[in-house]
Amino acid sequence: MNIAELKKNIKDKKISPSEILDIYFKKAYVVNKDTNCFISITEDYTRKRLQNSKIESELSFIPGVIKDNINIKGTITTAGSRILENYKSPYTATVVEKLGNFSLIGKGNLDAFAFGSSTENSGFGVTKNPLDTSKVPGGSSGGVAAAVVSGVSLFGIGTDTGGSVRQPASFCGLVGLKPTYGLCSRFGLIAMGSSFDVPGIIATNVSDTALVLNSIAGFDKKDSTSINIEKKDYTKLKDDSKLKVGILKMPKDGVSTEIAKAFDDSVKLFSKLNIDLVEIDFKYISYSLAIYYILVPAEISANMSRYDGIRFGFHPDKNFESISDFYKDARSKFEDEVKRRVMIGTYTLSQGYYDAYYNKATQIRNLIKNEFKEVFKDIDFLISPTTPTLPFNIGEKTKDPLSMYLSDLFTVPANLVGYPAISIPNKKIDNLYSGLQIMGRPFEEDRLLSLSYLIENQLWK
Amino acid sequence: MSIKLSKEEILKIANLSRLDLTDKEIDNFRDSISEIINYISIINEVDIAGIDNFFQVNDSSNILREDSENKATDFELDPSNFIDTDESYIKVKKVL
Repeated sequence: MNIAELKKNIKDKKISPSEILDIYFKKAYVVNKDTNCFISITEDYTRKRLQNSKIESELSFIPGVIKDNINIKGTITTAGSRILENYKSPYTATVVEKLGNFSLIGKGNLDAFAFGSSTENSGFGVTKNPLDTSKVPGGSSGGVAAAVVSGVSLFGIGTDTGGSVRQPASFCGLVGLKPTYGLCSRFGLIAMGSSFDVPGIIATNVSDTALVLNSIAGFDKKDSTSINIEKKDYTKLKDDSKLKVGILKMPKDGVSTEIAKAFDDSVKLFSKLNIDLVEIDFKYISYSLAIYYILVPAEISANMSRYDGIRFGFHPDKNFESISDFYKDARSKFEDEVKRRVMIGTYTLSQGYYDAYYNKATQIRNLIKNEFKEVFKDIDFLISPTTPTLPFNIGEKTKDPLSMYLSDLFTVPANLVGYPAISIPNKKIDNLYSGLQIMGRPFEEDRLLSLSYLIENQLWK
Repeated sequence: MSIKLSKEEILKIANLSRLDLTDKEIDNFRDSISEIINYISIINEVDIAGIDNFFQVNDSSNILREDSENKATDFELDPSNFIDTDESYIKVKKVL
């Protein structure tokens, strides 16, 4: 079942909205038991909300899952952290408002505050990959991907700061879109790295992804980084002729042989389609991951300062002699990875290290941005694998945070420069999924989705 | 050159971050954060002389609105999100 099919069934009255809720909630409880994909299943909220509801938007009654770091008034929003265990959203994120009266099935599990690439850092337990429960579903939007691939939701909204939509989509055999920074509002997203964060879409195919993007894209005055551009219909396919596609030169190490082979096959496919190909060897892209893990923790350490035990979430219920002790008691609720990233950010921003790390990283980010601008004058799209390896085992990388960080190798550059990027599933390898990443020019999601549609159909031939 | 943060350095960063760490956490973070700092130090190779800082991908700045009365958001304070409230105040614990 995809969105278009269910929409038709609703319109033809083959299925009623209440039947949809009965079927999908029943399934949600079962799937959640096996995979722990939801932090909360929102049956009461959704049944009440959709009472007497009519078809009024593109996604009316379509079952969807929202990552639990996105605020929806009337639900608990934990961001995957115990410090926000009982936090009731006081308002609703713009992207969720824009979805209209869809059927919210649940709030998806995630690494606490979206800090991770496997959903193992959640304060509410690990999510398992429904396709092979010994593997991670990817992260940080792992709960969303697991729910969509299990069929308990036809689409999901996640957040992507360095690959958190594309990587879980690739590990679960789904399509994951990170739109251009500024196309979709960040209002109501719990901030991680504010100059990197974007809401993104996970769905089972490219057409459904385009349909959801039609709903969530658009200017929002509540987000000062939102860009006011002419609205596009992303479901209309563009017929692009004379495309030139760049192939990212593979790094010397860090890429598994299975992934290298799958990527070679994709490249062959592009040449079969008579698309002009050129290998691109960036000078500075190899520093992407290092500057990402300087700049994002720096922004994290600032964004996490709001968790002071007073304004949000957990409140220490005793008296302290100093305000510092009060803060420390509240922040003891942070998960390990949250503490680690706050500390890395604090270190790189602190006196004596600011110039060597943070300041320098913002300069290299400039070099990378300029390099992308130059390269994209000559090419329309850039392709690479989405991840350097196949889905890894649960527990495989939790003891070694750096190896976990390295799994974001191919996804972080798009966030550093704000460009749109999509992950499309490859054919299975050893019964596991991986993805092909296509990056496009800013605000050219219409062309990106058109090419993706073409490739999706070819990849699965 | 490989960096290994001392226990004192970790405690200093933790204090600046308003975090209390257990002994086990101190050991764990000493290892993992040192490893990460060594990794990110590869940026030292890059010559950045004369390069501007870059903070925002969309080149936008100073987004202003009309100076008129308007409701910022549909925000409703939920008293149960706080320890205690008293009409329009949030009550907090005594710190003395």
